Amino acid sequence: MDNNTIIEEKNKDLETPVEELPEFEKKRIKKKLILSSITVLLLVLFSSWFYVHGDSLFFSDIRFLMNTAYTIKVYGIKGYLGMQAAFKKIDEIEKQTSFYKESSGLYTLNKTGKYEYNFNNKYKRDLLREIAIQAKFMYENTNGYFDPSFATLHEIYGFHTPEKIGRLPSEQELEGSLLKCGYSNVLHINENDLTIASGSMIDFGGIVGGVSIIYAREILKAAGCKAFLIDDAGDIWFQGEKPDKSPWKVAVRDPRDGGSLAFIESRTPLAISTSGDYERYVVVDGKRYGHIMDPKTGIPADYYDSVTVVTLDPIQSDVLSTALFAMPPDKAYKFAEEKNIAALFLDKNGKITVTPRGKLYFSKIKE
Amino acid sequence: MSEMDNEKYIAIKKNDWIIILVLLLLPLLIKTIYAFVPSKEVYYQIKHYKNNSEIIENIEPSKSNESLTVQGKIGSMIIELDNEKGVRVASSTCPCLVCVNCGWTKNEALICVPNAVVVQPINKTAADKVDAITR
Repeated sequence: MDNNTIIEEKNKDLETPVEELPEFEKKRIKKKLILSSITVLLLVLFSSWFYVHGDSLFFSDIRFLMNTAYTIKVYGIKGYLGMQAAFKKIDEIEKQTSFYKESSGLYTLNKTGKYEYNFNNKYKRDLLREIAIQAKFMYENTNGYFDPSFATLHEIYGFHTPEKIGRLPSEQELEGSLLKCGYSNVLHINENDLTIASGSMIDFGGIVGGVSIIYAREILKAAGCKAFLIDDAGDIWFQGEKPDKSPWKVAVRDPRDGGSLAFIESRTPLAISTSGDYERYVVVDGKRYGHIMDPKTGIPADYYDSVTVVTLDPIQSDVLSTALFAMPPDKAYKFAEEKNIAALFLDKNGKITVTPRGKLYFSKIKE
Repeated sequence: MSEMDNEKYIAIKKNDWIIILVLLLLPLLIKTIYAFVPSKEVYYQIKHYKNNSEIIENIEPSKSNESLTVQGKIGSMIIELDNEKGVRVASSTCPCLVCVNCGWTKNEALICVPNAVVVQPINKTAADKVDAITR
């Protein structure tokens, strides 16, 4: 074979037309294209649906935390994720502030008289110290009617027994215990630790619900949740616009018949708390004694069936409902009026009294 | 494998198109079914314990006017359902009996903290439906 023949052969190779794909291969590609298009279409449809309705998805969960039932209701997937993180945080708060759990800082304080701050965390802050400072502020601003050192009185009435078997202390016992109360006098907030007077006890139960709501709220906001409600066994916070644009609606429970005393409807964020003697009490000789004490007498306050407060801050509503419940009626109404607090009182005779500011919030009040 | 076999294997057949169509119309179908089949308007969701694990049960209205025993963390509870009155905890092994003292309710969750039991009435059409109850 000469050179020319070889070149001709090579050219012939090059001129050979590209062989067409077999029919079945073409169909395979066509099928793949169709299936891919459908997948993309479904994804686009799902994403569009999710974009439009994702924030309307409603999630609600109840967990047994803080020695009570804690409910969070959220709208949107982001809210659901935030809800899980919020519950985790509340669990952490409980572990640090529980009156009963041996691992808590508060338990150590009550048991040993001293609690050393722990700043070994991401925020270099000690939760118990912060609650102690907040509680001091509220103690001073409620003229001592909110007093975490009432735990000392709870002890002598038998509130701390697991069976809640109550007893009435003698006058001497009461006088002795009253000397160990007075939050600012018995708890010392030092630079490195908290210390407590001998024989005194502290229970932050009246404020820690509000604190936990603030933490949960910030976690939900950070998660991008646009509308949510937090309910710590009746201490409530809500914010954001619901997907159906309706206002948030909260009923005030009538402790006498389980019906509704009044309603609170709002599209703007609000904190609502109620204090009563029908959930935490001891029974002595058939008579019920609630857990909220009158600081002047050391006797369980017995002026109202319930007091509901509406504010813009969960700690304030939590604390103020307790403080107003402990005050005698003349003092309580005057205090609420002077401080411009929205409050609803249900007294022992079934009479409902609402403060001037309360009239802005409470509606459909029971006759 | 012959070309015929390949063709049989890969071609989009009539049935494939039906599946694709169903997939595309599925959300619409579900929505239509939900629109025509009325969902239960009132029922009770009970969160309790069975063999030490948490379970959620929905009790429908057809089973109303009855009492049932549920297991809590520390003992059992008897829950009564009534068409007129709603739901109540008739008895409980808990020491505080807050759940029992709540009485009958149609819209408020009955919660027993020591037993970790929740009885939640779900009423989709109640005019006085509220987001929460302060108590």
